[in-house]
Amino acid sequence: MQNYLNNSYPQGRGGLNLPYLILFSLIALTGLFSTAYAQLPAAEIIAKVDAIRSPQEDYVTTTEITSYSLNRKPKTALYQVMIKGTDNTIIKTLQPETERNRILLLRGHDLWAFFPEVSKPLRLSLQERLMGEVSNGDIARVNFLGDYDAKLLKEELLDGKNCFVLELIAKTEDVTYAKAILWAEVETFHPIKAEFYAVSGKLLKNCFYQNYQILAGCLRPTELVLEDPITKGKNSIIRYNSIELQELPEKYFMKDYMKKMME
Amino acid sequence: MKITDKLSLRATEGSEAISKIASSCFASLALLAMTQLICSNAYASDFKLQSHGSIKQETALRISQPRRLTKLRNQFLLSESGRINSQLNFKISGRCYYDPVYEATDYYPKTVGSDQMYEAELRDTYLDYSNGPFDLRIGKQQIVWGEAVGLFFADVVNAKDLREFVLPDFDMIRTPQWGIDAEYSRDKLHAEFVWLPVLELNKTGVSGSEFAFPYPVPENTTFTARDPDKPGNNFRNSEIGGRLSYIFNGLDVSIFNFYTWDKFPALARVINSGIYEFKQTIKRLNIAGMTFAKEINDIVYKAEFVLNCKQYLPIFDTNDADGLVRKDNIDYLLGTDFTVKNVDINAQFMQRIIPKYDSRLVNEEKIRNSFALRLDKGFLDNKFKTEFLVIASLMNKDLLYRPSLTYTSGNNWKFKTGFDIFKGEADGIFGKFEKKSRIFFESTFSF
Repeated sequence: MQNYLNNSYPQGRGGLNLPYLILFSLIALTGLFSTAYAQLPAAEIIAKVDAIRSPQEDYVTTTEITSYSLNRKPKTALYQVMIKGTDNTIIKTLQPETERNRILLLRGHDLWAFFPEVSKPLRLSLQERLMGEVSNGDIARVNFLGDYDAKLLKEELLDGKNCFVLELIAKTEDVTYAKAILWAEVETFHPIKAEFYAVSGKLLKNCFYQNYQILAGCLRPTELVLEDPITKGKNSIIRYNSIELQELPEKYFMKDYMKKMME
Repeated sequence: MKITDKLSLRATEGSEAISKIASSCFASLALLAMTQLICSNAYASDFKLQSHGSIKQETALRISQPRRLTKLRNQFLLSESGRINSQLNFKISGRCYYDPVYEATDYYPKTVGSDQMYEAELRDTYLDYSNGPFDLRIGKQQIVWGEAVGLFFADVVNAKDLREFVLPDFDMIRTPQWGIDAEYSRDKLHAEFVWLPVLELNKTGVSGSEFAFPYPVPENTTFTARDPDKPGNNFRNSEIGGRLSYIFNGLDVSIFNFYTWDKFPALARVINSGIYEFKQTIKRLNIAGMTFAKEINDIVYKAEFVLNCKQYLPIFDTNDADGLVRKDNIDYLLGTDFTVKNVDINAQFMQRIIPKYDSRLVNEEKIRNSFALRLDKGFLDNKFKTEFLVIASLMNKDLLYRPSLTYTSGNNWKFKTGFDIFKGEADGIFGKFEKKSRIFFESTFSF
């Protein structure tokens, strides 16, 4: 093999070298093809992905989470989620009835839970699981740009779609996941898939963004499938049933106001 | 200490009658106003009404000798809440219960049955008005202050129903009180003003009940006790308080002051021919305090300081005219919440200090140290939840520990079982119920 290369394409020889020319042309073409996106910083891509994942203004959404496990009946819960800006979220349990009126409040990276039987806000960590494979942060944090430093790794085909592949590294320890790899469609910036990792590098869950529908004036994923990468058949689906844009008062997102969120 | 009760004289004096009338009037007016508002807005486009509630069966079996079935309570709780318009919301709730233990057995005196066999009461019932940073809640309500978990420390506003000691859920121990809670919230500031015109006292078990509080009398002493004369419900006798909270760089600080009545009546006594005659008297009390909470690296640190100013406390001294002295006392708590391997841990250290201590004080020490530890862990998607709570004195053997297991089935059912174990001396906070340790079962259907 070495001889063949040496004999056929000796280095330092002048004149037209066809294989080099083809290779150069291919690189140039690829460069031309991706020029439009080469200028786009990773942060800008993430900002566009965030805008598709959720509205960039105050809104209220009803979210259903169904948790599936092998040999077990699926478990479903219904939440009302209020989001103000990128840092303030309230998650109110509507169902199951046994947990009705449990309220989570997220201000920045501070998470509080209000249980009617205790009647006081208690502190929780974002990593704590809300239900099934779903962490509190999966619902409460919809802000990749604010939570992670992004780096564009490459572009690749996923399910026949040309996608940006981005690496997201948590800006602080408070963020739900230490690292994420995100696939977002080049044409539309639609998020397709994400992998979420622990500090140790262990893959915690796979997330698939599905069932795109018009919600609040934009085509958005209405289903997030969160899969346990180790246990087959163990997954949770987050369904966004509705999104209603409305200005939410700042006071709703204060710890002392949580009692007033109870029905 | 043996308790030999003779009788409980029911005072039916004019002031109490006036109080009841005033209380009823206030309640009726508030309800009338709410009904009118609700009816007048019933056809408004954004009117919403929701009904929720629960049916709960509670069984308790005393495991100390003599073993007995001590509770078979069946409780129905109903709540109607709704939105009248963008500024007005309301809630009406009530509960009733019936406990056949007091009919089916003869363990308890009739007075206990009369007090605890059945009850129907209005619970949280209020109208919420919201306008910008201002909020007003008018009606019967629970106002909860403080940061501590599983303890009442700075939770000083509402009267408590302690007929089952501190074993029920805290939202059921607190007695909702008629009043006004005005709040102002802006940025990191929260200010609250509370006015309670209708006085409620702590309810304690009558003599002979499972969790009756003993009177401060020497062993084998005969005594009589007379119910308190409640102050009339007028402006001068109302309770008033305020709380100011601010978040400084994630440090949540609150200060509060509450000018109230001591909801545990002071036990003024005279001794006549060797018989202790107690007259429960309601005394004014000023409670001031501060609370702190701060999260650092997923660990929450919290503290509460409460000063009870010149509180009337009972003493053992037959030469003293009424068996009471006035003492400042300070309660403070330092606590932390964190999670280790999916176990939620809450640990709290408490200290009670009486600066000008009097050795004659009943069941009090100059400094009393205690701690509380609570561990929670959920299993199988939180279908099962185990909980372990211990509250104990660090000075002597006196503790309460409560292991429990909760199972949630489907959307509506919850089952809970566990133990309430008391250990300690007869004069201890928990030790006095050492013979009342129990196993319990609860089934709740929520809708």
